[in-house]
Amino acid sequence: MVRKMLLLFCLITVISLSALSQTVVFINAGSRAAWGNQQQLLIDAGGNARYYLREVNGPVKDSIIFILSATQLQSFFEKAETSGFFTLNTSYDGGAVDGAGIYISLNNSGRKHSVSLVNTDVPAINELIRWLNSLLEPQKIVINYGQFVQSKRR
Amino acid sequence: MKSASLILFILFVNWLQSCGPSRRFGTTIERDENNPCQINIIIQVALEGTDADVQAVKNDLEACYSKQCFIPCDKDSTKGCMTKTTIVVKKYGELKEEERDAYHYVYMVDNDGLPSNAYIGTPNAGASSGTWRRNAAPRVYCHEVLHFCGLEDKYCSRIYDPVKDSVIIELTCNPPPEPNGGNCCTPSATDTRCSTPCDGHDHNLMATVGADLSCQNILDIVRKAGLDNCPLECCASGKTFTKPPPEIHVTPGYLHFGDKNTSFGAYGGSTGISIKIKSSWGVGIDAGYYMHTEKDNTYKETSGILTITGGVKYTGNSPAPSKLIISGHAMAGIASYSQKVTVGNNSNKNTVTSAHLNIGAALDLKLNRFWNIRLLQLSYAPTFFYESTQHNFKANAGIVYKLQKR
Repeated sequence: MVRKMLLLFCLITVISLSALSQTVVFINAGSRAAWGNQQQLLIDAGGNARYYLREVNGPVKDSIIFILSATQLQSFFEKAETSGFFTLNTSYDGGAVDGAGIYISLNNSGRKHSVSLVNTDVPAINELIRWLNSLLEPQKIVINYGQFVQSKRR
Repeated sequence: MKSASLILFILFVNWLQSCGPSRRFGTTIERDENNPCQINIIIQVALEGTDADVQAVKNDLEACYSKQCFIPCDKDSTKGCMTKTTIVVKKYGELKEEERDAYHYVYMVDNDGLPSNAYIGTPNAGASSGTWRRNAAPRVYCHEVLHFCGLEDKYCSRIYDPVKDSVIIELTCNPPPEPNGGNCCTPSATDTRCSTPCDGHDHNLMATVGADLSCQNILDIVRKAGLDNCPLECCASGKTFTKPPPEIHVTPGYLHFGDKNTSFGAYGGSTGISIKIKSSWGVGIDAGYYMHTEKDNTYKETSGILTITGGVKYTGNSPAPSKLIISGHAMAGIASYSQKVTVGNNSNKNTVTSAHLNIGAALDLKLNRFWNIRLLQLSYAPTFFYESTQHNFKANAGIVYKLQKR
């Protein structure tokens, strides 16, 4: 009986740890060309975050591992819900080539959705990333997919 | 005073070169009106940015697009046509309203590490646009201009999504197949986005900015305009494109000769031949004779200066529509200075020789395939007679004949 309970406890622990290490936020932002910088951010359900800045097909230029609190992570998912992220199309393309963009993939308690932007702006994504950048401010990380540049087309 | 005149002349020539008539499209591809064996590619870009942006982009693009490419004839690949690319970069705000639609529009922004972008344009139809980062890596602007001219990227890319544990197809090769067995490349949890050149494009500027602009890129552009062929008249015989023909010039002129001790003006002329060894560079020789006579009753003094020089000649790339051709020359050789003094029935002749330099510029007006008018040629032509330096100046005008078959 004790052995069975111990086995069950271990199983629950492994499942829980596995769930906590499941990536729930993934962002790849920056270059959409074969050169230039790109940023990637992975956050698991436990708030463990890994950030890399690297060149496309090139070396890592910067990286940091940090923790977001459960409250911060929850606030991010709430922002995703209120900004309408989960109802957006999966892809938005501005029509230009090369340039910059962002790929966001979220798993909010089993509700998964991903959105890709290339050389364009979507207000809901801008709002969500603005919120995320405020959470990342202590780490001096700014997710940049070209939203700070007012791209002009004649 | 003479130096100031020379500077004013150079400024005037630069102004003349910059004010050729502009084309109707951002990218114009057409056969040269005087030479059907030459295809002119004129790319006009207007920057919304600073003067420094205009200069930097102009320098970058001119260096990249200085290449001339050969289009062989179908039946004889030793004969064919040539391309000539002219890049015009201007500040958007300085264009007249009616000129703006004929320029690709580029919005310059600070470099934040992200790539520049461009919308794909069409040759001989309107103009395109893009947003470019300042101080971009070499060849990036060159790559983006190829997009303006209608070329597509030749790389593919993939993103690994760890939330879905799946690889997302971002860009595919057109035409297929994808490299690496159809997978393009393999992103991972630590390197979530990868990109690789499409098959056969490892050294193509449309796949990587590590590659130089190639003639294949140029020919791809020309193909977009349907001009990737050489007309029969160029492939048959006489009009076949060959290296630019040698040129003979005959230019009467004026020489101001002298130093602090003596000086005079002499009239005469120069003649010579120049041979192109590259599209812009050539070598040449020049011979001249200038004479000055002073008379006073029974006293007569005749001075003659014979010059023979050889050296290099550079011909600038003027905008294709322009018929003005500017060239510069730097030559070295010898000068012979003879003085004959006659008093009554007695005469005395003295001849000395010296090293001689001949440095200057010329402005030609192209009349047809055979003839140019040399509107003006100014040269600084120092000599070193009598252990002194004579700072001589020459001004010539005349004709230039191109030695080619009719």
